[in-house]
Amino acid sequence: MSADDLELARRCREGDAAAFETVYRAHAGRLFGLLTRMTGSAHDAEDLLQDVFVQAHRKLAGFRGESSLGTWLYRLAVNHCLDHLRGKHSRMARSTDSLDAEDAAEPAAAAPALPEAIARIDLERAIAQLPAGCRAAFVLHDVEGLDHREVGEALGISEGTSKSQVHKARMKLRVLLRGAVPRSALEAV
Amino acid sequence: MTDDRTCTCGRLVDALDDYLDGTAGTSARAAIDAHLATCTSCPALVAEVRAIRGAARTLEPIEPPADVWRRVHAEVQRDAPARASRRPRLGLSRIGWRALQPIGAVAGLVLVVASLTWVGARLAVPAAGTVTAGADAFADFYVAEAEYTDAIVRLQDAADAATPRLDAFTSATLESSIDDIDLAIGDARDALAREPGNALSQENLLDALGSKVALLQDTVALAGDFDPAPEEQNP
Repeated sequence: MSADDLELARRCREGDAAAFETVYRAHAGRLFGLLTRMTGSAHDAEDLLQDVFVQAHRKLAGFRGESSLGTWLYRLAVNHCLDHLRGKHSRMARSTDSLDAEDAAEPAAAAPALPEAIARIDLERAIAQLPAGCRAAFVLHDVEGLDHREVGEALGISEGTSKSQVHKARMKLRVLLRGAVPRSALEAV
Repeated sequence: MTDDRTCTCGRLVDALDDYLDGTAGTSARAAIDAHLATCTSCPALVAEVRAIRGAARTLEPIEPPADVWRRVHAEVQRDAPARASRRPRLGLSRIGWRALQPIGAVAGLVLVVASLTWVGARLAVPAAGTVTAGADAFADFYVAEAEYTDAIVRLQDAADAATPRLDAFTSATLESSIDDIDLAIGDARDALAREPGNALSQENLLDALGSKVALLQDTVALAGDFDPAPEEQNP
């Protein structure tokens, strides 16, 4: 927690638009990446990012500096995104059931292997195709680096369920990414 | 991994994530390593998942389109005058007062009393910019908090009974709003646990509790709107 954060928060509370823009510019990229990957939709992520910063502006009076401004905004964004996903899919568990049915089918034996270096754009596209439940767990764990206990707390699921969702996501991504690998790239590997 | 410390392809899949995340025990790691040294198919699986995991860690922030900031800025500017009135998100003006249940009305009275108690306490706080409440204000805060909390407890049952009568969208919206408010209540309580006399945190908590009372009232009233009115049932 830095004194800069407290000072920025104080200026925002006092209606300093430049201070709030500084906060936005510093954190919007990370939060937009998180929201885009969690929702699988850049369009939804834009609306959510707007909501998060408007909410943040309203709630800055409650920011006491126990954590950094970035962590505070991150928590706000994750919670807001999960509300959105719950509203959209009714229950996250339902959306992951479809994956249970497929159980992240193993790639066909004849399918080409993945290259050691996966292109970011391919991975972004594949993440967007994951079912919402395991996508959220995967993004929080493998992209954002939260441990399973933290993922469980964020998603309201047990640590074991978080592990299982991340596993399913990884297996599903294998299938999706094999479809995304250009043949020429494979031949070069 | 297994009792006999051997690893099969199926068991490797089960233990793969712990292995790659570095959370597998020493013996499990040794068993997997031994299996990978002899298996013809599992090394490819491990390499692929390791590649996915590695690529995920390299994903970078994504800059949002420029117009998102313009929208945020415009809404914040619009929001400024509205905040002064401190209205709850779902105003009762938007719903039918006809449907307001007696319990909601009683809780509304509690809301007014609690608010007045707190306003009185705030007026008693001496200087502008003071962040720590005086002893009287401190006591009044707890009276107001108790009034709100009592109102919430009494309204919660009625709101729980009312929710199934709402359509799915309204129900989800209300639930989401309650979650937001509960988050704010939790944050304020956490802050007060660390600094009980902080006037700003006290105000935040009472604001959040007041919003929850209003929203629970709205829930009860909205459910009334979804029910046919008595005169409609018996024309």
